[in-house]
Amino acid sequence: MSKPLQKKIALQNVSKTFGSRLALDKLSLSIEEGETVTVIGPTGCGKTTILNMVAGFTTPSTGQVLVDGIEVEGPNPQRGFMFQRPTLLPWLKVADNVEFPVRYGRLQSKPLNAKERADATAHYLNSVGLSDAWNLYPHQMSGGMQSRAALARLLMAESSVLLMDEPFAALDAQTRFSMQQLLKRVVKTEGLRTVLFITHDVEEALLISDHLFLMSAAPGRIVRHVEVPFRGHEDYRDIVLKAEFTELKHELIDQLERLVPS
Amino acid sequence: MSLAKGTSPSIRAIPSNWWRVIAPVSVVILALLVWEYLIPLGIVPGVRAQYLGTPSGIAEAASELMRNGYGGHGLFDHVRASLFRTVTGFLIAASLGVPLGIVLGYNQRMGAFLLPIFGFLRPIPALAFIPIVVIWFGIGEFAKIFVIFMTAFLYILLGAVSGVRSVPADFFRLSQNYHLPTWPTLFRVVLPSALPEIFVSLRTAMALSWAVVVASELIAAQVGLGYLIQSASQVYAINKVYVGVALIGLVGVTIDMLFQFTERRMLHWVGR
Repeated sequence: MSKPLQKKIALQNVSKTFGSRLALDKLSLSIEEGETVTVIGPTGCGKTTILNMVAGFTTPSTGQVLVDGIEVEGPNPQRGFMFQRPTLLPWLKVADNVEFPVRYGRLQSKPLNAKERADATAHYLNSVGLSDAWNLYPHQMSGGMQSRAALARLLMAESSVLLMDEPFAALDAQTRFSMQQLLKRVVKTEGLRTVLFITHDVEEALLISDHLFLMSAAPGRIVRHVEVPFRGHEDYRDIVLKAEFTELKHELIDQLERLVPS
Repeated sequence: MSLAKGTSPSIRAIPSNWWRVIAPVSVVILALLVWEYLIPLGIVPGVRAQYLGTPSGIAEAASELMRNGYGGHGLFDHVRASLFRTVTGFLIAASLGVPLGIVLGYNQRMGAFLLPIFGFLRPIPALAFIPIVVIWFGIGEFAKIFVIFMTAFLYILLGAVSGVRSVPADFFRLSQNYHLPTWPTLFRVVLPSALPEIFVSLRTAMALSWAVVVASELIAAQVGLGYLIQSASQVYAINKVYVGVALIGLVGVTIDMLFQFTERRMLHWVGR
């Protein structure tokens, strides 16, 4: 049952304190179904805390975190999490890693049999471009391939919300670009997914998201909301060449720099 | 540099590969020759040949032991007896210690009850328990296996606990995210992730068990390598003692090599 004005994800006056330190200060933020939203801000501003709260790994000190209008009470397969590092299980081959949540977890959808699982694994490996790598162990793959495998695992669980904690931050520029492209493409083709993406990279935020929220240094507050004007574009090369892109990027970088306490 | 002028080139020259082989081997041969021919002459002050044995005597003792055994048991009966005690005690310890360690490491509340006690017991040398165990269980087979069990169990258990605690936090979050039930979490995530550390503790525990079995056989046994060296030393059969000691070393090395082999096969992803 979804009310017409109900947001997919809503944070209402959320504060979080760690000991005596106020990390988030009465923060509100909402995301429509099917949107990709990035939260960007200086180190330690509490952006990962936001993600952890939506994931259900931590709870707000005050305020509410709602997903589909229901308060988050803990981790749930409906909200898949992609970690900063690929977090693949090193003793399993890539295909086994990808099917791991579906095979051993308790997901909302009805359990798949072995054949269906193998088909789904093949499908998602294919959609991230790892069809030929199913038989490799994580340590036999490059960082970019590991990141692709982690994305395939995330998609495989068919979560309606994807929570991504700077997943491409450790990749080289080239690989990061291709991962951003891939993410954009699969979000579009693999069913309706709502994405909350944390990053400290302004360019990344502008390239992948529909909306961007800029946070202040701790205690974290939303200081700016940008409706990203490039959502229609497929190829990052079309975007990065626009004067509008460069302008917005520099403006945001300047603003971000002023937010970092010196 | 001016300093180099005073340095003789022969000292600084890198020895050839031949030299690297010949040099240590010649030292060993020389030592054996001195041992074999000079010591029995009694010309080395303070050394009596009857306590030191001779290389040829050791060779004779080895072939004697292989043919006739010792104390009414064949030589390999002694090896088998010691191995049986070690492996039995070790296997019981491992099959209880690994699961219990994983549970106590995973469930911090339960760990809080027992871990401080085990942590206190572990550093006590197993040998210190032998008199207690003898009072409790006598000097039979069970007592020896029990001492080995105690040693290995504490080591393995605490190794498993520490292995579980080194599982990356994100692996736990991954499990929580997809609502993995406790069983798959423990067996599909925690155990494999902790396995490298568990293996280290198993290997150490095995080496300790082997050391402890020999010690426990020194005290009271009718068969076993510890008994053999103890008994032979009481009649000054020094050459037989050497053979026993060498066998203990040989078996210990073999066991360790087996462990390393298994470890490499099972933990193929470690260190990559």
